[in-house]
Amino acid sequence: MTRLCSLYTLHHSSKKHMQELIFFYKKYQSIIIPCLFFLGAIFIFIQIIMPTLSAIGAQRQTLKTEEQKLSDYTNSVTVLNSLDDAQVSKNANIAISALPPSKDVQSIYLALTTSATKAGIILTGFSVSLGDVFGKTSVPQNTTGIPFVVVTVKVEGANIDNIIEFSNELAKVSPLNKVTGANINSGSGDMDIVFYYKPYDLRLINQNVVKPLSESEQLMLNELPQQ
Amino acid sequence: MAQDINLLTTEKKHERKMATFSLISLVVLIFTILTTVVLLLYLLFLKTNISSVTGKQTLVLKQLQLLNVKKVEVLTTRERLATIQNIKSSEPVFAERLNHIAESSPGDISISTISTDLSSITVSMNTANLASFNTFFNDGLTKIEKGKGSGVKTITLQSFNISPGGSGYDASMQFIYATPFK
Repeated sequence: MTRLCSLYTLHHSSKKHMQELIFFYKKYQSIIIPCLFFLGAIFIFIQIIMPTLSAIGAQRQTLKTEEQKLSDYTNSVTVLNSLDDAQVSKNANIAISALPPSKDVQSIYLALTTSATKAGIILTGFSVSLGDVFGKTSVPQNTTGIPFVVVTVKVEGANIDNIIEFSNELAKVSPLNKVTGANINSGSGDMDIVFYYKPYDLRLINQNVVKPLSESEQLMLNELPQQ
Repeated sequence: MAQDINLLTTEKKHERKMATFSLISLVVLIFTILTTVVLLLYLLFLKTNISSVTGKQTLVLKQLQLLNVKKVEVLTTRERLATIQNIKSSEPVFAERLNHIAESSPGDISISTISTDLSSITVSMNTANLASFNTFFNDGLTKIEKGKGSGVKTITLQSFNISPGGSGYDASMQFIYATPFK
């Protein structure tokens, strides 16, 4: 009975609270509702609008990037379709021949003998510093970071004009090279020549943006020894 | 009496203010909701566009895949040319420097010995005519120094002698360059 009484009291009390709340709400309704509206607006602004604005910014950037990529890819297809297959292969061969992917001793020897004959110099011997095959750090590199092979040639019958001529003739043949020094006494001595090479860049296979050769590149290609 | 009337007006004013306040809050909420809807729709539009562009990319990449050999050839050509340009522009050419010396010396001066290290050229010269050396020292050296891209830092006359047997004159000169050959 006591328990029943207490339950009744509790029920009565909560009903009373509810009535008080309703009364309070009705009394301040004109303030509570607008305040709730404002709070709702602030909540929406912070929780939805701001993140959405941020997402829109990021998506716009992504769209711009993707559109640029699409444009580049489309241009690449157009460029490649407009190029003559044979000419492209020929250009590639000229460039690869000028800067071979490896130390091509045969080409180096051919370049030396041809140039020496044209310059009127007799080659009596040559030595090649190949470096270690596997030791990346031991491969000689110049200041531009491009590996090269150092060749020392022994020459006879060389005067200053022959040497200049020999250097100029070497500049006309592949692989790309430079005379870097000479020690000639009374027509005989030795000369140091560096021959450059560069391994293939395998990342090019995954590159999808192709641009045609610029005017300066075409000009340089024409200046390289033609095959 | 007048004060009673004033009290009534104040209450009405208060009600009007509250009504305005309610209206403004409602307008703000509706505006916020509408803005949210518009922004979400725009976001959806952007995402759809990105999907569409990505789809187009896939198609173009398939076309590009068919031209793969040609693509690699063009890219390799450009990459090699860039490297060649780099090599050619980065280092002074030995022959050019030697040519400067040869061109600047009078015809009757012969160069018998050429010796180089990383940044210098040493030459031994010989002539029967002392006046030729005079011309070379006065004009030739200036030409070498001021020649286009010569890069000469120092010119040293290492020796100057009468040739053995007294048939002419020998001189040894060292040309030191600001930038090394390699």
